[in-house]
Amino acid sequence: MAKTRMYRYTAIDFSVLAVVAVVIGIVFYFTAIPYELTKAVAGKLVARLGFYGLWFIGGPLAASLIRKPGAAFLGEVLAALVEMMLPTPYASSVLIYGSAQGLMSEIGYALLRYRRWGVGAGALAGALPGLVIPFLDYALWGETLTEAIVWVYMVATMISGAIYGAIAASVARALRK
Amino acid sequence: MKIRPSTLLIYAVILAVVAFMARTELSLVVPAIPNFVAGIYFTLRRRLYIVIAAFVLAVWALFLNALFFVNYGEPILVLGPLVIRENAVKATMIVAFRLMTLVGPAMIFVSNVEPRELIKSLERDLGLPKGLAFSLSLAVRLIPLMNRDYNEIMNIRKERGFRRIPITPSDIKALLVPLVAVGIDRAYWIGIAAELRGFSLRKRVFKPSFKLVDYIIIALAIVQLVIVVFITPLLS
Repeated sequence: MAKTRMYRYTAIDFSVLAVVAVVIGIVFYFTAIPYELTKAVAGKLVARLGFYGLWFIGGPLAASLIRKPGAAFLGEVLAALVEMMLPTPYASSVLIYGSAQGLMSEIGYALLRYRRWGVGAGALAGALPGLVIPFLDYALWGETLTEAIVWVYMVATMISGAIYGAIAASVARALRK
Repeated sequence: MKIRPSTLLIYAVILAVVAFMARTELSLVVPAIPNFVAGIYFTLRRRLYIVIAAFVLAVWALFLNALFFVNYGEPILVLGPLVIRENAVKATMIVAFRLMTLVGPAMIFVSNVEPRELIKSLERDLGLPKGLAFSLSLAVRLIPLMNRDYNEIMNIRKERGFRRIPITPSDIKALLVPLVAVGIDRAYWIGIAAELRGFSLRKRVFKPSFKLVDYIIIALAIVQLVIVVFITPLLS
């Protein structure tokens, strides 16, 4: 009973989710410009290492602030919905990507049994979407890629995700002090 | 003839699924051309030129990627040391069609839907839980406020001699901490006010009110999905 109450979302949690959705939605929106510019000039690998992880921070930031099951998924999906309303050049694919990213971040916290919300957990929740996203990319842009490069992208995306996931969790930690 | 915002969202999401599933040029041309033309029409009407610029940039980046990784087959164009081959052009074309399938319906959606109407429609027509509807409507109201906070933080950074545009991870952290801090403080008070006004007692509003035009649009999306997934693979 006490556990159920602890996991129930209050209006405050939903308000925090809204703030995260706006901040991350704006970050997502502005990430597209440096990411696409870097991709066009220096190639996809450099762009991935430098910026791709920014798209994964919604989950770790929301989860580290709210500390309840489902927060990582909702943080990422709501941010994707806000990004779509702004609007984004990635169009409605952001909802599919956002759901996949949120689900993987959520799995990260579920693996830790929703007991750890620190920088390490943030890095894990940021890295895990990197396992799935290159395959979604391959489904969309596969004709311009080789299978071998998808695995390289996966490593790059996971590294970038882990760095930005850790940053998101450290932002939340700084705010909770 | 007013189309429900949820209908346009459903249409955009189904077409996104189509883009993920289509594998041949033929299957991509069917949804790409009409949706992209309609999308561009609405985009130009709303003057959202940045989306068109981003589309051109994305196609250029995809072409460069294709030149790096899949540039094989018969030569099509020789520019000094650079030889552009058949497969690089074909791959870029397929992916550009896929991008058009994604961008077109999303532009129709963005140009015709007001965020507040969308949230109302999601709650009423699709049964979005009240908490999420609350989060989304609050998010829409917070966008201008947080945009103001963002500009203030940027001005302060400039006055203190820091980079105006965040590039490194530490720059991004330095931007996120004050932005989220101000937002969270606001969120706590909004949350408390909502609870005091009986937020948890509020009942779910789920009364779908789709009209014939909504069903036609959803059917149109499903028809495109069926053509792409089942019919065009048989033809090619």
